[in-house]
Amino acid sequence: MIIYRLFFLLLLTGHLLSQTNFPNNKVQLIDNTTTNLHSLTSEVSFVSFWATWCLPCIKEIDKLNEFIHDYENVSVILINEDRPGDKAKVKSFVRSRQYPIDDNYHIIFDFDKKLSRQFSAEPIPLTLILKGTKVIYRKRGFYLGDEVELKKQLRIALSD
Amino acid sequence: MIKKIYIIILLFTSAYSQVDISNQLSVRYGDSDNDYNYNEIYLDTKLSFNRENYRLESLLTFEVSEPAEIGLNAKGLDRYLFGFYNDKFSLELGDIHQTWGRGLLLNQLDLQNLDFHTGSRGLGMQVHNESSTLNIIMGDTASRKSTTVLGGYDPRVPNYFVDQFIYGADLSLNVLKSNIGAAFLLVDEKERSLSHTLTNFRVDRSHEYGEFFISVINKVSEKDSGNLEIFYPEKDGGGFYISNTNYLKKWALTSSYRNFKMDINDPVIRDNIVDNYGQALDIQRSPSGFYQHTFRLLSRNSKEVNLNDEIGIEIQLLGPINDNVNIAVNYMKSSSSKRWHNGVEIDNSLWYSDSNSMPSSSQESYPFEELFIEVSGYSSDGNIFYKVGIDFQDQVFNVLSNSAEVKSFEITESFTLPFLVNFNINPSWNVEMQLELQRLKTGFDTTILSDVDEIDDNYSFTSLLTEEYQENLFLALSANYNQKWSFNLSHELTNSDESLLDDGHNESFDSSNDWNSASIAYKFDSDHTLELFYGSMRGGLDCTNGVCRYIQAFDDGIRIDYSLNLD
Repeated sequence: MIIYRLFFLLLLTGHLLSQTNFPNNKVQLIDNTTTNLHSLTSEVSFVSFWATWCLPCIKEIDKLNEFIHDYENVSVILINEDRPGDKAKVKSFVRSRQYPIDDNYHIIFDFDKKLSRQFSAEPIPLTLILKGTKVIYRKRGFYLGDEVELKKQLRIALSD
Repeated sequence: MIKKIYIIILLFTSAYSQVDISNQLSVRYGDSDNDYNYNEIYLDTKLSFNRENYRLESLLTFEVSEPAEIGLNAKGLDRYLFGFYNDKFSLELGDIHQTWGRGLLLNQLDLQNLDFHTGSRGLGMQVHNESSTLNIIMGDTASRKSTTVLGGYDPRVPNYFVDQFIYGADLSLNVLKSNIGAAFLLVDEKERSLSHTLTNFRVDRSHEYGEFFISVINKVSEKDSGNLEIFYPEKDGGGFYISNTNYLKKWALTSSYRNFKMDINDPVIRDNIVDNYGQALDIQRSPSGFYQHTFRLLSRNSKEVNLNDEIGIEIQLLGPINDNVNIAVNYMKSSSSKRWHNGVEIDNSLWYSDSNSMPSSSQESYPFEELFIEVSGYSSDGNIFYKVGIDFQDQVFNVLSNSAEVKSFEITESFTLPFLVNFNINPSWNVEMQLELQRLKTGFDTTILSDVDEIDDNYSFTSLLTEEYQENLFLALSANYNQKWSFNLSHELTNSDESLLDDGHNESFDSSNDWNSASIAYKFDSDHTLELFYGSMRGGLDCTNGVCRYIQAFDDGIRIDYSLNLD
């Protein structure tokens, strides 16, 4: 009974007080350098948890790459959830797919799954849109066509 | 106690109004004709207090599972983590998961779907600056498994438990565009009077045209016989892994070689995870060495790298054929580090071996070979996505006999054609079809050798199934409407009766050869979903992140999954 009460208490407080800021974790970028997450964000940021074996994730990134450079002041942070042993494969994948890595487009590794646990990211893809460092939109899964909704959410975030 | 801590944190952080709170609720229910029943509720709750220079965080996971889908029943606080983080230092107390380098020495996993948890309950610390990172860990690790070596085997409930106390450190340095790492880990097991000492050294170097990585490990296991007059020799094992990637314009070629010899044992005791005290630990994972398939039938054939005794190579070529089409070619080959043969004439139970330095194709070396080619791409308007592959696999699972009289090996050969196509019909409808065809041969290759020149050797193959070749088909159709509704149908068929795998009385195995299911899901909002499932699912191997587990069939039942995020 105590457990159920605690469940209820946590759910209630979570519901009343819930808000999530993007944490300022120390992370490793695909070029092996390390930085803080907040240094990668912009006015608006698009964050996605992904892996090379996750087909919906790849489709989402493919669609994202088609339109993201039309949006100024938007950073992209792709949080990779592959195994640490697959680091070379991830780099090869990103290279062969020509993901447009630059000052506003970042790929980071989450080998110890800290970020994944912080956001309950499984099952992936989990997509977040940030205004500054505050999470204002959260979406799980991706189907072709969902990019319309993502564009809409980015426009809303930029116009706020 | 935990409740008090939670309330204190809540009050403290609320007072500062800089608290982040989020909850994830997951409710799962299943009921099937073959008693594959479960009731599970999970609640993950996170509290985070953010200041300019530091962050305090708590993660609590509550679980009520009676019974669990896989694993032991649970009721109450299952996991917790309290952490302090700033730019140069972090301290964690509770259930810690660390990964050092690429995981050859330490890669702690939390795979709920396989009931595989190798995190440690204790203390973790990280100190870092621009050129170095120091990780320290100290805590209790409790892993559990289902094994046929012990009595009471149940594919869903573990019957073998290992409790270990681990402590160690890992230092990595950035030197001249390279990352150099060194680590040691000490592991004590009271129950088996065991202690393990692991050391690791690695170098990761990136350059303009690719990257190079090498990791070397050594492991010494000592067992104390106590007052018994039994001699347990010290087991000194090790291994190394090398990978090299080269970029050729838009193409990437990755090749790797691994040589693992943690604990080499003859075919009779090779798979005994209980008595082989020198074996690799669950907290260790090989850096790559296999392809993680996403197709259903291929996933059931996945390979798990054997850190105890394996030599392998892996080659992967990735690249674009044109702007819309990509190709991936993967080739993997491995074998044990020994070629095994048993004694002649009087004593056939003794095993002898010769060494391999490269992966061998000879059956007495447990060879594995796979070629997987996959093409994926989009139509020119971007509304159709497709993925098509072809896969060949050959493997020897068991060496039963390799003497001058009889050679007998348990083998599997498969040929699989997977195909997936996804149509974005209009802004409201998205439809996907997945089709897989597989031809599988599994059984015993036996040759009785003749010592008379005029008489030929007698070869026979005994299938583990009712047919020599098993033909498998998997078909799945799904439709998604307005990002709200999702409708799914799946059909799986095989031509052979799998009940021969069992004596016919154990319901863990499915005696049918046809599995159908339908499910419907509704999204209340972007991360709030209810899914209803009715039908059957075929059992088999389920592999995630290189960890494989046999999952029993789900026969003619319902499943309900509900998940809610409160951010």
